[in-house]
Amino acid sequence: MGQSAHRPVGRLSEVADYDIVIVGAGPVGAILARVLGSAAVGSEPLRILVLEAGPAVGRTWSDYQANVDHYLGSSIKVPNAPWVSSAYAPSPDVLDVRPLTPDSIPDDNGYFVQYGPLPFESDYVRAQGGTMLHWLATSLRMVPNDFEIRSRYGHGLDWPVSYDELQPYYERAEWELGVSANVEDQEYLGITFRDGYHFPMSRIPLSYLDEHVAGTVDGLTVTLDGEATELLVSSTPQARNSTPNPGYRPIGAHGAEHMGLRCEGNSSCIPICPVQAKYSPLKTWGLVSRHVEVRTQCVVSKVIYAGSAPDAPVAALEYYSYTDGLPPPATPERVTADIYVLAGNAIENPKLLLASEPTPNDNIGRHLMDHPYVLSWALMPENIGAYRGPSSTSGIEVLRDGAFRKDRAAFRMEVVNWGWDFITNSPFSDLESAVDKGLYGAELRAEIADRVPRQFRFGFLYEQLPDPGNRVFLNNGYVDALGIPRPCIAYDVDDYVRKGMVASQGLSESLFAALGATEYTRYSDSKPGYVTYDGWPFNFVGAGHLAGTHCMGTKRSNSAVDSFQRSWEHENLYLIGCGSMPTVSTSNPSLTMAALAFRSAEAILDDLGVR
Amino acid sequence: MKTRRSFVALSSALTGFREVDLWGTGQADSYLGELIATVGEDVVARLLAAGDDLASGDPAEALGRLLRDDELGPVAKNVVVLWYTGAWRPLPNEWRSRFGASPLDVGRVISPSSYRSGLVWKAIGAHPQGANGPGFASWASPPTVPSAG
Amino acid sequence: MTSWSPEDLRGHLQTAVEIEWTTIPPYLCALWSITEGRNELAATCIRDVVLEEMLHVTLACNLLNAVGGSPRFTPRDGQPSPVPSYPTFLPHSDDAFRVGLRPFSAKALKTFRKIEHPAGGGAPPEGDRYATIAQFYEAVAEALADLAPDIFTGDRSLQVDSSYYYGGGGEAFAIHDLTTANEALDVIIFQGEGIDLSIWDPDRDVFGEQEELAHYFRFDELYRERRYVEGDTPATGPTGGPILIDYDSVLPMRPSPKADDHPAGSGLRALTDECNETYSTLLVQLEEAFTGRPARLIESVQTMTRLRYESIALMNVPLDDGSGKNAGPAFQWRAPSGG
Repeated sequence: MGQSAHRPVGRLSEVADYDIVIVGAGPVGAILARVLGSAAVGSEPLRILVLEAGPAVGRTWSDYQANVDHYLGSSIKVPNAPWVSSAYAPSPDVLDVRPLTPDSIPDDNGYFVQYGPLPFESDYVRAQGGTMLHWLATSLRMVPNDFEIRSRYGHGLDWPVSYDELQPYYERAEWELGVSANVEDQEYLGITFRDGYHFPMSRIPLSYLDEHVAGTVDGLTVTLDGEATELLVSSTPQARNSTPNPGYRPIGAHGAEHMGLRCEGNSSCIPICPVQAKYSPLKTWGLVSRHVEVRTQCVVSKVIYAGSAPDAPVAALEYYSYTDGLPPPATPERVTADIYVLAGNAIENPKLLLASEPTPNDNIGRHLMDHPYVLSWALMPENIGAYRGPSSTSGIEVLRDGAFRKDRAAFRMEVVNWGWDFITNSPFSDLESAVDKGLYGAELRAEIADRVPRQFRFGFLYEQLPDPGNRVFLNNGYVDALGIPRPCIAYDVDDYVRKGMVASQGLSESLFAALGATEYTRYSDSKPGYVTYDGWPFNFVGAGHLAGTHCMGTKRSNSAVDSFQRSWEHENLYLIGCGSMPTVSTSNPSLTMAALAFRSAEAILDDLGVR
Repeated sequence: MKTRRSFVALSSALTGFREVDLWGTGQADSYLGELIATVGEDVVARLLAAGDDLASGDPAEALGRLLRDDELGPVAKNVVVLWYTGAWRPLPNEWRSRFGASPLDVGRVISPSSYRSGLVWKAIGAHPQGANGPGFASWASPPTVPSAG
Repeated sequence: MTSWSPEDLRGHLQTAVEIEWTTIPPYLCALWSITEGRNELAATCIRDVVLEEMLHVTLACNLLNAVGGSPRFTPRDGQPSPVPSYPTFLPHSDDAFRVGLRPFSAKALKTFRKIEHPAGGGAPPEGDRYATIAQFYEAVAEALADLAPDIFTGDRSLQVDSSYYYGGGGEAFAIHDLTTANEALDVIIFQGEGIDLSIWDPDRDVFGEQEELAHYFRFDELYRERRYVEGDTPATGPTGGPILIDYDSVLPMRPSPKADDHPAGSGLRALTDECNETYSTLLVQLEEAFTGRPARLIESVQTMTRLRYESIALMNVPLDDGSGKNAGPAFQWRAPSGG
């Protein structure tokens, strides 16, 4: 790796409470705690404190099962259904989102305060383990051109780190998360691997439905925006236990190591894997040195700087330690360290910084990005075995890059195994409408059996460009139960994305036709995420891929952090997570986030002079 | 026991699943209890009496009549939904205004175990999302839909 | 001390496969009868033991294949049926106790302790009419040592390793010489009965896993409703905190059911037949997995899962006989109809 541009911070003082304080016990916090927790100064382990706003949700197998039961017993099985959040550390919920109108703005239903013009529809989980408790486990690398969008396509920002520089950290991330994939499936659009590299586990078997779709789609040539592309259905790399390759032992459930050694096909990766075959940061937490101190239910409310100079180092953090069911704590506590790491997420990190400084780096909070997610759905002519296996085990990846990115968003395309589930509340809605038609007995069974297993959908994730107007900001009129300002969000989806939606819609129609499927896609203007382009309507939802709000770059004027995710202004402050991504491109960001976290962990060790 | 048996017999005719499959979910007592608590013993007694008549006449004709009945039809339909989904859905507003609203007549999953026992999943050759995972790589095999027994 | 021919050894290793398999349905009945979410410690314990017994089955098959045999799980080749009929004595044991299919209960735990009972100090190796499973395997170990290395003539492609076997209880490994054969025997004996005179099993040493009690002591602590802690010995018994056992949160299955308990044409007969067919499919797949098609193990796990749901369904069905008991899985051979 390149050398840090900053002078080493060193062990500044013996008087600091800790060497490192990490804010957030999600995926980034877990990786940092794992790496830094095993480092030592002489024979002394580093003194590390992790402060987590939310509760611990899976210390033991039965703790974790309580979340599973909560999910199974929920009427509406949204991503946050298993994960009960605390009143003192609220989480946004997709059920909070409503259509916005000029009169309803700002809409403060739920945790976010939505300033529009479109609602920001993604949620997250504030708990130990973070939002990767309910991720799907898609672990794609970015394609090399994604790091050079400004140079190649004239917008966004180039990354200060290249694919080649990041590649060794991708490998570490893939082994930490336990990614199942075959190298030969993943070499497309310039993605390369080290000679002899293999993923820790073989790819997750493709679904019957994947093979069926591939049988028609593979080799079809489509022309979009004048570019002809031969389509290919690719196995998706997934951080979910499969058949191990040499040198790797699958990691089972936290607290019940014999469980979850293979994916059992429970089909609920989102929102909770009941056997923990899917990676969650709880697995990494299970491997963290016991010298690392983790305090849950501690909400950091303020970063205190050593003086008022814009480049003053951080002197302390203030946090509220609460107990659910008791009144809020009256006063915050303080903790000091040599190095401070904010590992919240792309909304919680800027929220905290904006609450702490009158004039922070102007990039803080700006360029909020997500992957607007659009679905198209159809009935296949025959039973394709919908509702079996992980939500998605394959995708069409070859459309993720091309010269068209000068004009419109690239997208990746998920082939989805779960029918129409949350689009129409299937299969329950199918059952209820059949019952309401008066069907019963064998006829009812036949109707359901005929229709539901034929349900099919594509999911499209579009790259969203960094727009300074899409941002997180604060308004002291909106605070949470601890008096901490809630995130206010201004968000829109620009024409670049909408043109991508139009391109994908045409593709979707032609693929449904090739598959002999009858399309049922209907977009409604009463949905929160309703947009149009050139007369084409769409409904989008959030993908939960929050990014961009403390972007990394080559200099202070274009970014908030350097390539090691260190604040330009505050030399002992790191902002680590998807917020550092200057552009989000089309890959689900978790793997890249994890790779960047490994790289930052090394930089922190360099700062402390312990590597 | 007689009531349980009547309930399961009627439920079998309505759902298209064998009585033994319904017993096998372990939910019969729980569903009957929820039903009585929600719509009252009298309505359930009339519903089960209509079910007991199935044995004597033309079952298809009797079931059709039951499902078209203003009072018992919507309840019978909700019994089907209960078995298929493990959840109670609210009765139509019209039913509530004519036959009486119950504070328990709200949409709810009866329990985690009732959700796991939903018959809709069996009917489509799948398994409830989040439970009864059919095993590694099961999703790669050709789908099968169990025939109505 | 008996001197075995290679054919004797293969016969006894087939017995080993049968002994290990015979223990599994009784454990499964106890496990599956426990209401989901209740008696969690007991459920975890039995589930882990089942996984280890499956590992033992795998290792026993690898042993048999290593010495040129061919594991049988189904009635074939005019040989005596290897499918246990419950209640049954352990194959070739001294017939001191019968093993039946029972729901989770003190009685079941007592039987489980007997199955996993450690050999007393100085108990001689016994290939037949053994009192403990350890005695039986000691006899196997002597014969292997006697016949090695010439006995290891098996086709190596028949060995099943951890790419197909999974689920905990350690990893399956290939056996091709006396060293690997003895490693396998050590795993089988010590997981069941403890290392030498300790109560702990060897997973931590062999597989780098967390420390675990050997099977006998895991059942013993459930039976006595008290935990073993560091420092306890077979003589002290468990001295740790109490274990809450709730024998009422268990499906009340009538012991050792059979398909013909139910009249032909009845719903219960149909369901029991279906469940027996699933069980038999599992046996066919296991036999195929250990005779050259290891990938069949993947399917066998799916079949085991189906067997579980069908068995639990049976355990939920009340019997008509006024006993207050429920039906249950019979684990009988019923030739799969194919398809």
